[in-house]
Amino acid sequence: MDITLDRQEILRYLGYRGQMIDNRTQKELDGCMQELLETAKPRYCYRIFEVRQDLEKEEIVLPQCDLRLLGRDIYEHLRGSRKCAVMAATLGIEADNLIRISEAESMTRAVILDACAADMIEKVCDMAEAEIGALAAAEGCGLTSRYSPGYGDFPLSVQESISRILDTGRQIGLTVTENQLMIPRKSVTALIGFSLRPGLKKKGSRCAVCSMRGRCKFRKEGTYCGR
Amino acid sequence: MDVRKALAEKILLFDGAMGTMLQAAGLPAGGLPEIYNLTHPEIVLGIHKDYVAAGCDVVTSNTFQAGELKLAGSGYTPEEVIAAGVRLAKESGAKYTALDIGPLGQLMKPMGTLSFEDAYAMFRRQIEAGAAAGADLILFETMSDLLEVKAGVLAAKECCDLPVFVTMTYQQDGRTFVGCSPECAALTLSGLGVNALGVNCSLGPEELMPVVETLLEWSRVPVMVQPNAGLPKMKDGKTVYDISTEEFANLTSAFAAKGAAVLGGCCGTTPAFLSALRKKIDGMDRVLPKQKPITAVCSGTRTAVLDGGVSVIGERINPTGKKRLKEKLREQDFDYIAGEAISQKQHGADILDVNCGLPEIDEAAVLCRAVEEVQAVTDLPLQIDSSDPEAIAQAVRRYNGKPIINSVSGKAESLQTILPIAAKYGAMVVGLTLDETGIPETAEKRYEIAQRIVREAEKYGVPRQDILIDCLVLTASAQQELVMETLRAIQLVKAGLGVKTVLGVSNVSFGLPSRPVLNSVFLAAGFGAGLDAAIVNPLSEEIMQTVRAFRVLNAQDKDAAAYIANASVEEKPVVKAETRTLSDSIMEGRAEETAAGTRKLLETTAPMEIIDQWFIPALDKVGEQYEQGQLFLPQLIRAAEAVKSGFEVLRAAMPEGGADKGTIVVATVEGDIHDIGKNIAKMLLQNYGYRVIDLGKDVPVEKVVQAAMESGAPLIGLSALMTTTVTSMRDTITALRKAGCTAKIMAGGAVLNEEYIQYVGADYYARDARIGVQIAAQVFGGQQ
Repeated sequence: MDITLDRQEILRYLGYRGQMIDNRTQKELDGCMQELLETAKPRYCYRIFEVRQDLEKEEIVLPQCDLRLLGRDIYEHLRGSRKCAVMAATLGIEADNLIRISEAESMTRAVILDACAADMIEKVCDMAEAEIGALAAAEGCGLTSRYSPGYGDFPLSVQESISRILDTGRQIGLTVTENQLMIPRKSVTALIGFSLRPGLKKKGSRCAVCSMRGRCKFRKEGTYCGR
Repeated sequence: MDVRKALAEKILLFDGAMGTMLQAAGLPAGGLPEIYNLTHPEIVLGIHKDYVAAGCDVVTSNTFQAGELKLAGSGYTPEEVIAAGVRLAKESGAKYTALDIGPLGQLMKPMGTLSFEDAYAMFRRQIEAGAAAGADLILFETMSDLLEVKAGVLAAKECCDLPVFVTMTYQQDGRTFVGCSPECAALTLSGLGVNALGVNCSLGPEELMPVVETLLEWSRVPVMVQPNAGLPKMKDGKTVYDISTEEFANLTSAFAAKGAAVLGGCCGTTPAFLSALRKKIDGMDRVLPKQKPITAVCSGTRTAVLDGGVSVIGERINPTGKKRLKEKLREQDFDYIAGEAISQKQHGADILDVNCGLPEIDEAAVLCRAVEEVQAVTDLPLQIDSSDPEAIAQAVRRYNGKPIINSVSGKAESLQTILPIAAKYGAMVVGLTLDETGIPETAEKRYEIAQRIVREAEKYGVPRQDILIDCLVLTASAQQELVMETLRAIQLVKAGLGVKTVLGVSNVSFGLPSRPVLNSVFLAAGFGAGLDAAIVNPLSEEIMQTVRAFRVLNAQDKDAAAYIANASVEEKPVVKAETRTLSDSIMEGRAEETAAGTRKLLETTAPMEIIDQWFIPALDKVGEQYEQGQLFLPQLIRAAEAVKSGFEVLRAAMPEGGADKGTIVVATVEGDIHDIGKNIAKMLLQNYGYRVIDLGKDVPVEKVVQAAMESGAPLIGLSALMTTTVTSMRDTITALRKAGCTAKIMAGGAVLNEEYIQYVGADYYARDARIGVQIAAQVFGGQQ
């Protein structure tokens, strides 16, 4: 996979607000970006399913994989879609290992690597989304934004079902614990709708539905996390 | 014919995919195929029968995901699903029925949360059900994690006598999802005594060839291959396989021509594929792969080969004569050991010795934990070192990979207790040339003991290539005339027994000045005599120079590449601590400079004074600048790390516990493994002079309660990252209060806010590590 990390985004994850960045930090950041790119094993998988609306309960159902999506927010998100992609992406256990070992060596490096990984997994999701976008376009559709378990009132507990439906253990080595924790840790699952009217995907639009809403340090400062 | 006998004589044909067939028969995406054993038995039986008709010798039960984790919430138990699955497979009329077992579905510690014991118990439950239902053999397949497989293989061997086959699944980079290589799998699983090992799934037969070739070279048991029907490709959001039955049969039968003994199919294959393969292998003779003996050990992901060169075994994780390490072991603080492991690897160790022998601790428990912690931070293979056979057995059992046991001797009791452990777990073993009468003076007598060790080991089933003989060094200051006997003994052992040798070198210089010179000269002499591995201190520049130089001379370091590369990095930056104050060093986050500055200051200033007058004011200033937005996170943490290295200098100069301003217990709660925030908080608290008892991540409620009560710590810090584990934080706090714990509790983690703090019942919200320090100041300040 050909991935370029976004330095500004990584700095933003690190709480950067225009401070002087000394040479050493610059160099360390470059080194971490490089090392993560060399070490991580990004993988993703997805499947496309038809979307049905249960108008009575106001819930979205994916009959082909026998999945009912709970929550008002995901209903709003997918109600205009005929199909949706269920996707999962990961940086592999190698990224987890790299960060864990770095913690024992240098916490500074570990924190920077952690931020790099946060950016990298977004980039991997972007690549999956681009592929999905092409499939949607072939059907004359655009895409809604990615919507993940834990956003808004979309329960994390769906994580396990997504993992099973995509067979993520076998496909990309992604597992989910009883507490809905994904391992490898740097992983994302999401749903993307195929919509005839996908609407505007403007920056910051995801804050309204984010589970961090109300306690996000970026929002407090008038910015957003970039996702 | 017993399946073991069949395996020895002919090419055995397993069946092909079950999931592919069930999906074609209407199984929805994400549905559990195993439930069909009970809801649609006729479909499952029909598929088995089709494979038997295609000519398969072994039919695999539809029980891949019949473990308790995967079946959770399905309404069925593993016993029901497995009994039905094995019965259907047997009903098909196949010659042999394999109980199919896949990965449990969660990752093992330290990557995930699953413990070795839990994995063992889950596998055992499946195996007992399968054996009771009449399976003829056990097949672990599509495995990624060697340690998980090891738990399964041990469960199988300890609860039934069915043959065990294991296949792992490798990606295009030749590794499994958790980084296991075919070499590591072959070494470890051969050692554990499985009946066949190999590869399945992920790739098609063409892409699997390099993996299979490696397995054929490294495995000591028959090799098994079950490829997919080609490389999976995504087409319109669906996975498709695209080779023909003929191509599949041609390519897969080619493995048998190279020496594979068991074939079959995986995803995308159907009875038509297996039928074509049957036709190809009919009339083919079983070919034995060409092999030469290999002496090697491994972790779950990395191999150290002892053939064809000299190896370095790092000796530093051993408390003998090390005050700091003893302290840390008693406190069960494993960060120090992790640090030793990392630095030895960075200095060029190939293998690490791990010894936790202290009289007043539970050595077995501490050794197991140390092995786990070291394996979490380094991929080097380990040498498990203890004089307690029980500690060895427990640590070797949980070790991920093929370890070395240090050691067995020529004493009858040692041979009887240690060799069965080495044989059972497939470990390599160090044999000391001493017996009931002590260390013989002459090389010939030591050779005799070595000979006895090798003979006994082979009787127990430990092959010769898994033995390392240690001819033992005597001290030049005490028995000068015997030093060269050791070298003679090495030559005798190598020539006469054909085994590899190892030596703990440092003893030779005991009681003499300039020890590194004596050690390295003796090491060079040892290499000259044929020594294969040296147990030494890799942080000694003289020792590593000798190793690097010898590797040029014995042509191990091709074109002297490593030697040259090392020579060019040797000029080190000069630290000018004189011109700058300790505060400057800390605030700029310069660790080495801070350590040097602290050392200098220590000549004139008391340790406590350095903490109060230098460390804390500098940290406070950095903290303020951080809060004001002049510094950002990496700069704050780097300053904290500089203080940490200053503290290391102080601790060496102070009595145990001399800097403690109070004790704080920290933990990431049960179910959560995101602990980077907790680790940052811990470092900062330590920087301010608090003693921090770190219980780690995914810490069970009882363990927090126990540590809180035992330590009497006035402050407890808990972290949780997920909304799902915030509940676990509440349970922990409730249990603490119920146990009568009166300590103040601070909670932190990304999802927390003031509202959650009330919900979980904590006293303080530690929004970040800086706030944590302020809370500690409040709690401990109020006490004085």
